[in-house]
Amino acid sequence: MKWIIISKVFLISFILGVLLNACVRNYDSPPIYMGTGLQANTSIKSLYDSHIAGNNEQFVDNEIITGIVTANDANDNFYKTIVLQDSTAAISIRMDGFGLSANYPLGMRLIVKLNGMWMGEYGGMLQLGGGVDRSDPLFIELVPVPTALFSKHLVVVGMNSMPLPLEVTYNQLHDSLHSRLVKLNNIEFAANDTAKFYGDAINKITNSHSLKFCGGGTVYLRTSGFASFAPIRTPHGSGSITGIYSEFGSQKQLMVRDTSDVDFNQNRCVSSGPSVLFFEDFEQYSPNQSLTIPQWSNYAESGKQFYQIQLIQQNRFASITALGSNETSVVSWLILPPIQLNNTTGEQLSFLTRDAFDNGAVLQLLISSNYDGKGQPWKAKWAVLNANIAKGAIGGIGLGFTKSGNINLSNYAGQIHLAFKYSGNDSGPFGSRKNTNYQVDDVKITAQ
Amino acid sequence: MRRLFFFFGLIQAVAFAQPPSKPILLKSKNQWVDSSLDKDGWKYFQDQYTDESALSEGIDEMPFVPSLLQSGKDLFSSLTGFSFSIRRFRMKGLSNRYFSQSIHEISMNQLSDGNIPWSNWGGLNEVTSNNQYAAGLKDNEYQFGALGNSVFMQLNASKLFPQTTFTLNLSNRNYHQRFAFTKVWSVSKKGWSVATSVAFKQGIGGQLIPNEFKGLSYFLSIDKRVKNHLISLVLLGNRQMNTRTAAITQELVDLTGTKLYQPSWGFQSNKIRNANWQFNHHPMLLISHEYNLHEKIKQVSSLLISMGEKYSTALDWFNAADPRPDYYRYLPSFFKDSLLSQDVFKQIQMNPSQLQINWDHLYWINQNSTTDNRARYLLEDRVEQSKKVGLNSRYRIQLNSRLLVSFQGQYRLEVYQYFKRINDLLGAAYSINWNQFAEDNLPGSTAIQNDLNKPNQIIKVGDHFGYNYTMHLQQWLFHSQVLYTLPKFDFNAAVEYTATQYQREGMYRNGVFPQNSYGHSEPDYFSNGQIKMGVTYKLNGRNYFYFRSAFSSKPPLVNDLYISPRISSLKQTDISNEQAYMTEAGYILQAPSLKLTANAYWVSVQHAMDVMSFYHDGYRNLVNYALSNIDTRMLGLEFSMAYTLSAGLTLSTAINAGKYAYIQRPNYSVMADNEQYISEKGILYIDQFPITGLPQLAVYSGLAYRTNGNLFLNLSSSYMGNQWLSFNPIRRTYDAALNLPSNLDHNLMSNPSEIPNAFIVDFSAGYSCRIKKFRDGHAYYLQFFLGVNNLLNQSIITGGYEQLRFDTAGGNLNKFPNKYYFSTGTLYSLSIKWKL
Repeated sequence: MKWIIISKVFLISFILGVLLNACVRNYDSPPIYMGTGLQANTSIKSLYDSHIAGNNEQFVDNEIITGIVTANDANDNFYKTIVLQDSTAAISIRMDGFGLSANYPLGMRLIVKLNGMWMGEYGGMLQLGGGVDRSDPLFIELVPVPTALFSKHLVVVGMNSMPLPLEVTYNQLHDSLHSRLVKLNNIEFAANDTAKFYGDAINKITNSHSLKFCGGGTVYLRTSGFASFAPIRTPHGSGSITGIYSEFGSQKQLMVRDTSDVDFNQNRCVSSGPSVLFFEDFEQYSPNQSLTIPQWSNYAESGKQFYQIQLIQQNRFASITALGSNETSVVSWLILPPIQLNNTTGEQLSFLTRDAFDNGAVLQLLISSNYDGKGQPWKAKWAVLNANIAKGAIGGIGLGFTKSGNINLSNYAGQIHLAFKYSGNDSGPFGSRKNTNYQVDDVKITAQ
Repeated sequence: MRRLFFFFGLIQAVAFAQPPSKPILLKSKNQWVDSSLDKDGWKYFQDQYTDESALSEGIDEMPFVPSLLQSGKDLFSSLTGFSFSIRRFRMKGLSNRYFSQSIHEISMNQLSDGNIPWSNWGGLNEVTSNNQYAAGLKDNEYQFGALGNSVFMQLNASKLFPQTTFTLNLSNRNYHQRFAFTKVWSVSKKGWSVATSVAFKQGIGGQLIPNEFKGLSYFLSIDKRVKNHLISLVLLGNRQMNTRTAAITQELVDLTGTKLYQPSWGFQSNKIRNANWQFNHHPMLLISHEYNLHEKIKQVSSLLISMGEKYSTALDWFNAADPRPDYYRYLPSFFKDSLLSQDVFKQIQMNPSQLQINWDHLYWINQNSTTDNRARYLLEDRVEQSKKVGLNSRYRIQLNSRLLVSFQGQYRLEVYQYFKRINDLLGAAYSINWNQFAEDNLPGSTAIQNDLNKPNQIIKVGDHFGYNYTMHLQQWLFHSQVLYTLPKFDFNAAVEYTATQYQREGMYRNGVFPQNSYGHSEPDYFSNGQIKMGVTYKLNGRNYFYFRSAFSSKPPLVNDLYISPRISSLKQTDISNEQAYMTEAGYILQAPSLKLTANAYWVSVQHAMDVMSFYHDGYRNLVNYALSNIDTRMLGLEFSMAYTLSAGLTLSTAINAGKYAYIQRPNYSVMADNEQYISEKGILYIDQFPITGLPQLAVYSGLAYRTNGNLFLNLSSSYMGNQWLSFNPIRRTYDAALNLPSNLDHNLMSNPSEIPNAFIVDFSAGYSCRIKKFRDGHAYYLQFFLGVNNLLNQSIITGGYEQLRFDTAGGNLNKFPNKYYFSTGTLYSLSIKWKL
């Protein structure tokens, strides 16, 4: 009898538990935003017209503008800023906080209630902001709109299609295009600005690269070191570029939102001596770690040894050795990013090598046209390229880097892969071990 | 979480100790004797004023003076436990690991953090009050004990009083109703004893708008006595889901006009939704065996098996604005420009909903800001799953009437797995297992991968992400003690040896730490010992003097050893055992109308370690402060007195006056979660800083009135002062002082932050009536107990902390102001108990 009661009590408690479990509340999702009934009562261009140069002006009437977001902080090139464009003009709005792109994605139509906001210049560019910082009387600047006031000033209308960028020539670049989304055609990076990082991601510094119109004229592409595409290198060819136009003093500047804004897949239009198609000096990467560089691959076919970044006498380079692995076979691949040879002619490769404690391991330079870039390079077809590679430093580190000589790549076409392949071992009797340390630096491809 | 511990601490504090050890005493007691299982008041009451068992033995004029009874709470703890807990008073200023609790002799203090997981058996007040208590270095029957205090819980059905009880609790705490049913059957002829209890607790809303509480606890205990064996099986658990409370700044109090403001909730489709929940469920199975293998030798063995999960929920976000409405950049104080500050102030005044989470907007962003609905916001569970096995065996050998020897061995294995899990994608389609913080520092590299073994993993609801690692913790313990009883003196000595092993196992290969995140790390071994000795001089049955001393060495807690175990197996460089010396001396008076205890103590703790992790705005990442070589010293006096006037009036008082301070300069180092190197290190200038988080001076005074058995009233007041907020180490570094603008007062930045003194008044009352009496003598009773905490309805600061962020460049303390927890005013709980 007692057991029956006990089991009943327990059964009840378990049922209660199950019920409780079922009581966990499911949240439904909110209704869809239905837009706003507000209407604009002025245009962006009229803001420019009403602005008195050098002044900071507060809006005290109920001015309302509307426009489409053409740039935001999605890739962190634009910092605490969105750009709003209507059919008449465009203007930057300085806004506090990160992740603005979540609230204000590209293509969104916004209504801005300007009452209480400020308008002022930064380097000659008109901007909207939330206030004015007069703490330094020599440098009065606009303060971003506080996040807490976003909902006071900005009202979402809905998603629109992006406005087509205005296609302009060099001579049409004019201050009326400030903050406008423009497209520049027949343009390329200056020869000494190709294969450079868009931005300085290591020091978080903005880079400025000159863009040359094929018909003459220079515009500067400015990219923040915080941009997600900062560590990507500038392309070599020519074509068109889309971005937000600005002027700083007399300098004409452009900022892109992403590398997809840069469409340089035609041949260079100005041939003024060799330009750099590709360059890597390894100086941007942390030493004493396995080499991990975007688009590069670092594979161990056998022996589990990877190329490392090393730092000796303020110089960083890629380094590989079988020493210390105790492996019977060490084969390691360092593969460069894919190189497109179709848009250029007269491509030449050069690099530097240095050896240390040479006892017969081999470093080779290989080329492949059929490697798919997806790993396991040993399954693809590779050809050895003749290069002058350091050797003979038996008792220590080689005195200097050995130049590879100019290796002609112009016989190849299409997309190719280049690789350094190391073969050695670190087992058996001491005399038979081949564990030379090879160091590679300044890998460079130029084109006419 | 803190709230929860606080709450269970309260229950624990008022829950009384043990049934009388001699059944014969039962007859001499009033009808409340058998209510020893009551949680709320009766035992609290009895505990305070009628420690009759001690009394009746004490007044015997025997030449052999009896030793002080082991069992109940000492006078100081029973007076202060309830009232001082509002300010989180900890005896002797010791850290959590110096307070121990065991169930069936298996230690509950977690090897991971040293804490006692109260909520694992919370809600079972009717059956978990069979406790033995040992304060300070007092000897106990079971284990070495702890410097602070130790509680030994017994859950055997045969040691509970036979009863059938329905309880209804009504309260305005975080739960509002509690219903409990308890039945304990009397021992059957065949030696079986069975006890069961089930309790349900719930509450929605109340003083804190977003409050919600749901709890179900269950208990089953079966004993079988066979000759000189007692075999027990206990199954218990508490499944609980409740909202957490956040600390808030004074600015938010001013902005909202209430100290009850909470930032962690908002409306979703016009329904209140809270982002911060916690869940806990750790069922426990205990099997134990007591065996009197000889009239002088008793063997007790226990096996514990427990597994469960706890998690807390929080919002997570990627490439989006911080969704927490009390983020400092959203508040007026962030703006130096007074005009802008005023604008923001007005905007918030006109739109108070801006200070709550805008769930609808989070959904909108998740569904509209990307083409494929990748989550920018999600609700995550921070999960801790644990599996525990404990094995304990003890031999108690009464060599002769004066000499008692005992040996104890214990093995514990605790495996904790920690990971994040997606609770709700908030309308988004998926998320990716990326570490957004690494995105900034090492663009385009594999550092962004939380798990290189599964790069770019698409994750959905229920999937693990972020971090995922397991801690394998083991401890072997051996303990022996000797009690030697002389006519005028009692001597006790105990020694304990522990061997501890810690090992981390990474389930993810983290992109920032590919070399030392995945797989088993190098294990750490620690050998430690504790030794204590005590002597009690028994002047007569009323006056006792004692002197006790101990040395203790403990391994660092595993959570203080690894700098950031979430993502790597890197450990602190300066690893040391934590050592403590303690000496206490005291006097106890046990007279019929006057009881008095006085205890003076000195504790020195050396080489402690600590790791604090928090989100740092400047680094835009989680940052870890690793502290080592922390030395503290606690000095103080505990005094308590209860004087019974005639006519059932009792006056009582208790005082804790302590000076608890850091006495050296600890080392610190700072490491961000996305960097492989230590970004800062040095020493902390905190010599002579007070130990924070508890009142160092606390005074209790109470007046109780009791009629002959069926009514009592107790009015008490408590003063608590000398309390400081837990401090931000970075403000006490050389670097911080160096960068400080010269016009700022140096001391303002470095001095510890004191919180105002508090004076609270508590009231409790109990009443009992018999509603039916049967011929065989047993009867139905109704018992009422009302406990009112903070009668003056004050909104006092109960605790808080200095934010760990600091405006190093500007030295502006108001940029990241202190955060406080406020009490919610008067709290009551009414308990109605129907005893069959």
